Amino acid sequence: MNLNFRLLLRKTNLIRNLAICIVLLVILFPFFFLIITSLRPPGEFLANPNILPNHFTLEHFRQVFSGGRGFTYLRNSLVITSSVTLISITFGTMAGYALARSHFSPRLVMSIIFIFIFIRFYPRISIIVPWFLILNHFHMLDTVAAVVILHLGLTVPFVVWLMYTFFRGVPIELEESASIDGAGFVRKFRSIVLPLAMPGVATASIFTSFLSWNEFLLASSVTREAAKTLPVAIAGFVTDKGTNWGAMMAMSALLVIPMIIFALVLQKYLIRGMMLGAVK
Amino acid sequence: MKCEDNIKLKDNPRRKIRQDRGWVYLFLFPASLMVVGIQLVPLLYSFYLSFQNWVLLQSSSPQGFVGLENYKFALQDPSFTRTIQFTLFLTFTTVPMQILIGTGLAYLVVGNSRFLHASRALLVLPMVVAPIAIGTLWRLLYNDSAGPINNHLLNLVGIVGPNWLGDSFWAKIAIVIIEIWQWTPFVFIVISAALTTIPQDIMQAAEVDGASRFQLFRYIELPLLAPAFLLVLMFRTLESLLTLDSVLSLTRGGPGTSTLNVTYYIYAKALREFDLGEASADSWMFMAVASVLIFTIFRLTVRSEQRQ
Repeated sequence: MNLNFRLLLRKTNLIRNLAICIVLLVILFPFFFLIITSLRPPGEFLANPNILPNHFTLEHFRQVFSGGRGFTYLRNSLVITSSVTLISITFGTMAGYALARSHFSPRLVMSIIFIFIFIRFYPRISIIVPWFLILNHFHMLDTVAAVVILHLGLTVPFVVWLMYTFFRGVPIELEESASIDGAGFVRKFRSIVLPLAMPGVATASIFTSFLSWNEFLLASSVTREAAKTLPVAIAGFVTDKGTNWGAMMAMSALLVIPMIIFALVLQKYLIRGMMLGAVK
Repeated sequence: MKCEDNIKLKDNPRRKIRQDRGWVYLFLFPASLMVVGIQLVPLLYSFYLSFQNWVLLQSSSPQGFVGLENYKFALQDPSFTRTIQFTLFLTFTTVPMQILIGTGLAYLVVGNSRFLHASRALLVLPMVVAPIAIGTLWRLLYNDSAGPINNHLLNLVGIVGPNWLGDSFWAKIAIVIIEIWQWTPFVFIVISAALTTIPQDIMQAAEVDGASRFQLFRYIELPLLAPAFLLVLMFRTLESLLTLDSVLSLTRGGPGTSTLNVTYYIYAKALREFDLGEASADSWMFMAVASVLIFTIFRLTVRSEQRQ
């Protein structure tokens, strides 16, 4: 009887593991196919019905980078993501701290938080018309700076909200004893609270990079060619002279792989950022 | 003035607090400037534009105040109402599926073995990748002659696959599938996290009392998971209404306009037809609907914060 039970248990475990494997296959196959297609010899996608190519080649990556266009898009994406992250972490962390330790009434703080939550979720499509006009007026369309500005509008409120919830969790007693010792506001922030909030800063940086790196709507509405980011370039690929699947997948790989590495190595932080508001 | 808390601290003189106040404003200033300048002012400008007649291709300045004409036009425009229908279709089909499958997955991989840990880490991947890349990638998978879905998966079970992206019905299904594929992990993560907060002693006590697995789920887990479900529902509904990237890169709204959703419709109106007045009016109507959901999310967030 005991043996029977153990056998049954092993069987249900087997079924369960099998189910998990099927789910993983569904999740991972598209990524696998993306890599495979980017490494396939040109023209083979339609000609060779096998999933695995006859041989692997970096031809598509060479194609993407030849003429400098791929480099431009990659560089734009890198410049935009890093500036956006740096700026929004600096000012967002400051504001989050100020808000958490402010003398404002709880009602006022809540209204400010509401504005931030609103900006996290409202239809971003609403600001593309005004921004198109503003940037057009200042001759700033299709510049990297324009994309940085628009992304900041998205990430700063997010970082403030995240850091606010984080600083609220840091016990105030530490700062109180520091101010008895004569530490001012800035000292307390820099040498006491900030080191404690480093996990929060990590979460905010990683999530901000993720947001800016993947963002398409705003970037595409203010760029034409010179300031295109990788997502915008990939979307444009479809209409360019037929579809060069291999090159398109090579460019997608450039966009996708860094985030997959992020997700596997720094998952805890990335997830915490994504879940803000949903779980704590 | 709310300084009772501070006064209780005998060693914290009033002057000091007032000094701190200066710093509070200084620290808040740059971020507030960005939020107001980048988001709120342009939003008000777009509200103003929604009452103007302005097609950028015809004139470089507004062509006159038209009152509610832009709003009225949108509501009477059958192509706009069709996009609303499709947007709702997308939300009503994908969100329940995401919640069902995501919850199922959370139960499937709960546990502590190394295999389960690795599975949980891998299950998250679709969600972290740019939706624009997901759309292009699945274009390839759906390719009716050479894509692996028709060519291998359906072929294997002897089904001749449809022309996914060329048929107005199957194109819709194609979008539903990638939305479920990409965002089910979100539900999975939230529910997984919520599951870990369920007190095990209650579960064990009920088990000892002879409750079946279903009863445990129905009478203990489900009520405790309810707030998590509600939040997931709000998040996913809102984000699904706002979908643009995957639709744009998968079907470009086609064939015809069969997979055009509201965001894409406004996007095209603003940046292809340059009808700034109508695009602004459409986006403000959309905003009104979204605001209701956002406000609910806010209330839930605040309540969960107060409970702590």
